[in-house]
This record gives sequence, C-alpha cells and structure tokens, in this order.
Amino acid sequence: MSVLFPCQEIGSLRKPAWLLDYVKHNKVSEEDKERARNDAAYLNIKLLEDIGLDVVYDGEVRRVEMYEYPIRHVKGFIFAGEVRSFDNKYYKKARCVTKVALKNNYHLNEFLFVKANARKAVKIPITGPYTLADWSYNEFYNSKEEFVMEMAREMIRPLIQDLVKHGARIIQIDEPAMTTHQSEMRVAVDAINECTKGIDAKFIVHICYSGNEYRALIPYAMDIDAQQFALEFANRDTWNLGLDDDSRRGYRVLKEFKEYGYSKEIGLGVVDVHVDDIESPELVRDRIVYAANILGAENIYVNPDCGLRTRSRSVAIEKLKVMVKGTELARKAFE
Amino acid sequence: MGKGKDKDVEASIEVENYAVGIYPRSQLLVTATRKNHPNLAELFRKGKQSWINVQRRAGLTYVADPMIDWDDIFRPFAKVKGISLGPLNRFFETNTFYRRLIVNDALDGYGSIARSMLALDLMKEDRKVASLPDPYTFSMLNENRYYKSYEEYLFAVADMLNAEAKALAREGVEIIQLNAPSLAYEFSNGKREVELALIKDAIGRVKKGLKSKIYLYPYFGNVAGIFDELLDMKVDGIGIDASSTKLTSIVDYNIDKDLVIGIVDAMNTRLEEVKSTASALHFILDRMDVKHVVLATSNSLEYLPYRFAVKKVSILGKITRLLNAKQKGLTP
Repeated sequence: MSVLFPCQEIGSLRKPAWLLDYVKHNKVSEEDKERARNDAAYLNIKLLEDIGLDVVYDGEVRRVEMYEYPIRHVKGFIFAGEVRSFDNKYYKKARCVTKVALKNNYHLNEFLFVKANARKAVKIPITGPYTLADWSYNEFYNSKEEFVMEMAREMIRPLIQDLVKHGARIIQIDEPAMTTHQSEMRVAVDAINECTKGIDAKFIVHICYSGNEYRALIPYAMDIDAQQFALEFANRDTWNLGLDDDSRRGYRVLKEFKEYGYSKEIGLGVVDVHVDDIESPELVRDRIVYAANILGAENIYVNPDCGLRTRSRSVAIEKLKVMVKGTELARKAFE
Repeated sequence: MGKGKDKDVEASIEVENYAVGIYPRSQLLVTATRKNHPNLAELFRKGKQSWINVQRRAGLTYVADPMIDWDDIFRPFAKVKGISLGPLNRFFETNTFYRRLIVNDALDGYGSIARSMLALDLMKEDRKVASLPDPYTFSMLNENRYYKSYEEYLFAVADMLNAEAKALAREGVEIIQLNAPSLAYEFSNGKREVELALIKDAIGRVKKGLKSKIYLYPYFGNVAGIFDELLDMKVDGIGIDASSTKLTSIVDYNIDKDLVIGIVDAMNTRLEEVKSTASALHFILDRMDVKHVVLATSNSLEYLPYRFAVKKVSILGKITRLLNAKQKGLTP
C-alpha cells in the first residue's frame, strides 16, 4: 500500500441491537431479513471507511461467530452442544463423524456485497483449518494431522479458490488456535500452505491470545505462505507512554521475530479489545513507532488486537478512531 | 489384584470410581447465567442436585459436587485476603480460559472457601470426593508479587490449601484430589524449572495433619518418566491420565499407593466401548502390583457438552462394574 502504516480491522464488530431483534422475529420474511443484513453490512463498511481505515470488511455482520458459522456449511459435522470458553461465555462445539467436504461457499454473498459497496481495499476474514479442527471433537479421523489436512484440502482451499475466482485479493486466515499446541505447529503450518499454495492473493494470518507470546510461531513464520501476520500485542502491553522496552513490554517479542530473520509484514495490534478503557492516540503512536523501529516502518500495518465484537459499538468506534489518530501521529514521526 | 497377591485378598478389593472437577452446566443454567437470572443461586443448587443424582445413578463410589458455580478452578480463591483478580489466560492447550490470580499481600483469611462453594449438605448420605488445585499448579498459573522467593510463595499456597483441605475433611470428604496439570504438562514438554523435591515438600504441607486421603492427579501430559518420583510424594494416591500416559508404561512399578486411572476421556465426545475398555483394564491390572485402584474421568468434564458428560459418567460406572465382575471371575 502507498500509505505508511495502513490501518485495518481484524473482523468482527458487535451486531447492532436492531438487527438482532429484527432477524429473530418470526414474522419477518427471509427476504426482509436479508435486506436488514445488507443495511447493517453497508453501515459497517461506511463506518469503517469514514473512521479512516485503509482496509475494510463488513464487521462480520452476517456471521454467527467464527466457528459455528463455517461448520454449518461443511459436511461431516454434527453439533454436540455448548462448551464454556470462560465465565458465562460459551461456544457451540461440533463432532466430526464422517469425511469432511465443503457444501457451498458460505462467504460468497457477503464478500460480493462488500466488494460492490466498499471504496477502500477489501480484506475478507475466514477461519482457518487448524482452528476449526482443534475446536471440534474428532471422532472420525485417525489422527489430528489427518483431520487438519483434510479440513485444509476439502474445505478451506476450495473456499479460498472460489473467493479468489470472484475477486478476493486480500484474505485473512484466522487461526487463533494455531500456537496453542506447540507440538503441532508443523501441522498448522502445512495446513495453511495447503490452503494457499499457488493461489494469487495476499494472505494474512491472524493469531491471538496464544498464551506464549508467539514464541511457538517465530521459528515457522517465514515458512508460512502468507505475507503478513496480524497479531495481538496491546493486551500484554503497559499503558505508559514511551519507547523503552519496559513501557512497550507487550511488543518486545518483535525483537525475537527480527532475530529470526522475519522480514514480512506485521499487523500490529495496538488497542486492547477486552477492556472499555480507550487508549490515547499518543500510546498508539508509541506502540507503532516502537514496532517500526524494530521491523521497519514499511512492514507495519495497524489494527486492533482482535475483532471488536467483545466491546459495545460505541467503545469499538472510539477505539478505532483513536487507532487512526495514533497512526497519523506515528506517520508524522516518520516523515 | 497384582502379581504375587493372594487371590482371595484380590477378590475382596473392589475397584472404586469417581468423577471430580468442574462439570458442564445444563442448557437451562447456560441461559440463566447469560441472562443473570435473579434466582441463579437456587438454579445452581438444583443443577448440583441433578449432577449428584447422575453420579448416584451411575453407581459411582464417591460423589462430587459438580462445581458448576466455579468460574474456573482458581476463581473462588480470589476471596483470599492478599489475592486480586488478574487477566484472562488460556488454560493449557484447551480453548478454555481462566482468570490469573495476583498475590499482592500475605495470604490470609482462608480455610473455608472451597467448603463454602461445595454443596456437601446435598451429599450427606454419600461417600464424598472433592478436588483442589495442587500447590505447584496454583503457584505456576497465578502470579506472585508479594513473596520474596518462589519457595516462600509456594509454601504459603500449600498452607492455604492445607487449611482448605482440612475444612473439607471435617465435613466428611474422604478423598481430596489435588489437580496437578502443571506437573504433567511441564514435564511432558521439558519445561519444568522447579525441583521435584520442592514440589514434594509443598504437597507434603497440604497433606499435613489431614484425615482425608490426598490423591495427586497430574494430567495434560505423559508422566511415565517421573512416575517413580510421583510414588515418593507424601500422598495416599497417584493418578494417571490414561489418555496421556500409557498404563503399559507403569506396569512394572510396585505401586504402594492407591492408583487413580483417568480412563474415561473427558476431552472427546467419542464414547468408550465398555466391554473392550474393561477387558483391557482387567488384562493390564492383572499384571500390575498395585494396592488399590480407582477409575475416574481423565480430567474435569467441563470440556464436554452437558449430555456427553452425562454419558461419560454413566460409562465410567459401567466400565467399573464390568471390571469388578471380571476381577471376581464372574464374567470372562
């Protein structure tokens, strides 16, 4: 991108209350529900563009969430019930009971809508094969590796191929589970490469809340067929201003990326999506400048740590605005 | 059972069982907690009674409070003076998160926290089992900002758990299982930095003066390589998560403690085949020199959806009954 420190979102925004009420209503026709979803998607696209992001999507406004939604569109799975993620938060978990196969391109309509309505660059987020397998119960395949690779070959690769055929140029593969099992990193890497090999598009891998500050990822990062890793850092950083290692402790791990010869882009998480407190533009600036000093300004993209659906829409908007303001300050610092 | 033991004595020793730890909430409770239902306490109590009934129907030897009102295995200890709540952290390699506790001051004001969170009054007629985190896991997964040395911190945690365990013992809890995932996980991944001798001392402090049996249950990792050291721990029983540690790898040990075998996989919905599992256990136990065996789930059932957890408890009961019949020669 021509602009320094391009700003992007990671994916989800909280759905507007009116949309949730509307689509739940029994008397509303499917056609009208779809119109409402289109309205919400359009508003999100324009909201993100107006805030000043350089790369946008629709806030994943049509998706239930990142696991259940794709699994609904794959043969071989049966939902088993809800499992707790933390406190009173749950997600539906499915059992893989037969060979997996993609039923249909479940992101096509939403992608075509965004493509038709966005003026900025479009980045479509999709959940990756390793995470989908890891968050499921495997009752069919003989090994985790077999399961993951089959998900890559039979589900995600055909999905990506079809999206690219319809004009997708930037695809973000969400793999929050990727570094969870450090002994399985090779499997996760091979799965992503299986999905992307020979496909002409820009690939970004998003990983978050891995618990080991990406140290499991670092040795493999250059082996993965992706141009960018969009990662979470703000969650582990201090709120003190400054460019010293102590103030920027959440970003210190970037030095290890550098030492390993990492030369790709980083999507730098600069706002914490798990707290309502709003970062200052100066804090965002310092986080960007610190990272740019390590990896080179041309390699830094700016984004929230993760999707902002965990926050109210008003907090999410404020965080994105601050992110853009902080990025402008960082650009000035590098002029 | 066991090599060289008198057959009549063998026949008299029943294999026992339990399923301890955090159980999943029913859909009713999931919805109620999401909506912060005004009668949540009453709903939790009913939910506990329901799980207790499931355990009774399955014929489990020891009944456990299902801990459905525990947000994670550490959260109740946030009430201890000197501890505050920290950020969310992933619990090992699961997709479940816990809140890290921060130790800011000398630990104090403990001794009835776990007891107050367990509905022991619903289990008056039952033989009871309960679980606590082991001091090592507690110390590693939470954060010390007060004690000058790791040893001081670890022992303070152990003393706290000792007081908690004593309160449970006074209420008639016969077995207290110390859940020790850090021990197994770190050993399995070559990451343990703390000497086992220090951990042994800490676990000994938890056991000190306690009338209940203390079982140490390492899970989430293969412990075959430290099994002899585990046998040296000052506890009454040692556990093996059979999905991580092969029973064949410990078959040659003279096990002079109770052996808990986490035979029912609590991480996968795939249901164990009762006959083949009981036969395999019968075959292997016949080759082991072990004092007493307790079958269990591989870890907390909270990683399974509710109805699969119910099935797993039932399967645990069935495997145990069939195994006991085999041990007594009542079935081939």
